[in-house]
Amino acid sequence: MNRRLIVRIVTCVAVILLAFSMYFIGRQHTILVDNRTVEGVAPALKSIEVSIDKQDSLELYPRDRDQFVVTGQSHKLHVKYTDSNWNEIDKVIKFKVPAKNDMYIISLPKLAMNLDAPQSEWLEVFKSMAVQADQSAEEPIVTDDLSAMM
Amino acid sequence: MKNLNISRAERLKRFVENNTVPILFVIICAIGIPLSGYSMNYLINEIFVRLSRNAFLILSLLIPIMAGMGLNFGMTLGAMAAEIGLIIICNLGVVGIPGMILAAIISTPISIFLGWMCGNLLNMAKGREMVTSYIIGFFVNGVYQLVVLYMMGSIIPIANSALVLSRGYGIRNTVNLTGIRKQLDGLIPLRIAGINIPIATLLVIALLCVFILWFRKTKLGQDMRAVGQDMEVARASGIKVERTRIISIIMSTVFAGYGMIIYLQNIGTLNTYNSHTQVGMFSIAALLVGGASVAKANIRNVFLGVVLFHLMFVISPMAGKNLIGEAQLGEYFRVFVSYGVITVSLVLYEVRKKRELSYEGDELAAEQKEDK
Repeated sequence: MNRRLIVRIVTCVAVILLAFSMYFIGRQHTILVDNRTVEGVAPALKSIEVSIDKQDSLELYPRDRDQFVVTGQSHKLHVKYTDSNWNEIDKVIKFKVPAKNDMYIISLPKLAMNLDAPQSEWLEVFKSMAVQADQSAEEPIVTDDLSAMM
Repeated sequence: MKNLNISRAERLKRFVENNTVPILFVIICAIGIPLSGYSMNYLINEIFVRLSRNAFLILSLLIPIMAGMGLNFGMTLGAMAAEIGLIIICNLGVVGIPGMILAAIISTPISIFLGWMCGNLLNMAKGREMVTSYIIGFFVNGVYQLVVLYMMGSIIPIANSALVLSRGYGIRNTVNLTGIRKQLDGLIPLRIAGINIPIATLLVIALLCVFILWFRKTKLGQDMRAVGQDMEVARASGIKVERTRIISIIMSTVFAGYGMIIYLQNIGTLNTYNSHTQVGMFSIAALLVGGASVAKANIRNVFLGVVLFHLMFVISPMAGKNLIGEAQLGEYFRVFVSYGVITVSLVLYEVRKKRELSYEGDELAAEQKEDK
């Protein structure tokens, strides 16, 4: 193999690696934070303040659900609440989201049950019900430049 | 030749002849600015926006001119490649600067392939490069529509339902680029006296300018200039003319793709089937307004062209409205002026070429007279 070919191969590999790294760095996710009772497992918290990655914190009450839009794979979840024993809990939990899914949901009651539990116990993929777009709202697509001559 | 006695009036006449289009636009702008009633602050702000939006695209035209291939109307090929890159990153949900870089990486092999194809075709149509590249643009637009309108969503999987037409395949008319909107422009924000200066975008443009200046001095750059001056002489001196021309078109197409990504991140919306169609025309018009010709263009022409052409674009609707109460007239004016300026520049180029030949004849005759 001559030197030029090696340089070309290395460049191509570097560009492909750069593309993959850009995908993982720039991948956007929606993370839902949910404070609903998980039947028979964990009751909803009376009030909880939650934020992800230095974004503005949200205060959630029972049956509340809100969302954070985050970019990348590794995140920090900051929770602040008062537990049933009136202890002030203020903790930062690191978690990772796989790149392949758009939406994830964090069950805050499940998280509050055991803050040291692995993320698989309180974080799961959220499958949204796809909303069918209104067909009538779509503009017609004109691709034929010569249509005016017909 | 310099020792020829050319009178000041003659010099002035030649200067006006060589800069007819820029002078015309300076006059239009000078009349239009007070008529439009816009504040200087607003106009400077607009100039910065349009400079950051368009300069990269226009700079991509310089390399084929250097190689003697005229104005590359085929830059729309790169624009289409960039749009495919942007659709893919929207589908993958990649945002911000990483999204822009990924779109650029995706567009690069497509641009290289399209540039290579275009370059090969232009080599078969030497002397008719501009019209050929213009028609290639239409042809590839058809292929682009086939891919985007029929293959995406059916053969090429598109997971993001917001992108796909309700019939289940094909991309919608408009793609929202909120994920990358103003990401580069706002990367290093600077605001002076109410004027937003997109430093990061201007730095990227400056980088391309430096690259072009450096490239001219490289072996390949020198080869392109030699090919641009005389293909047969270049061939006789051992330069691979066809290969050099193909490389120039590939480089132009790739840069046009990157320029289109910068352009669309500024706009924030991708008009799937129309965004690329006018890009070539307006970029070429701006370059010509800057004083470039089919055979000669430099970086100064790019910036002067963007400023003058887009200043006319900004002021003409309001000037038209204030002058005769019809903003629509200003709209017509700017469209007809942009097409008109290309026509005038092409005609002037031919006239100038003939005149230069005549001057050269005169100068040679004068030199021979002196020798006697």
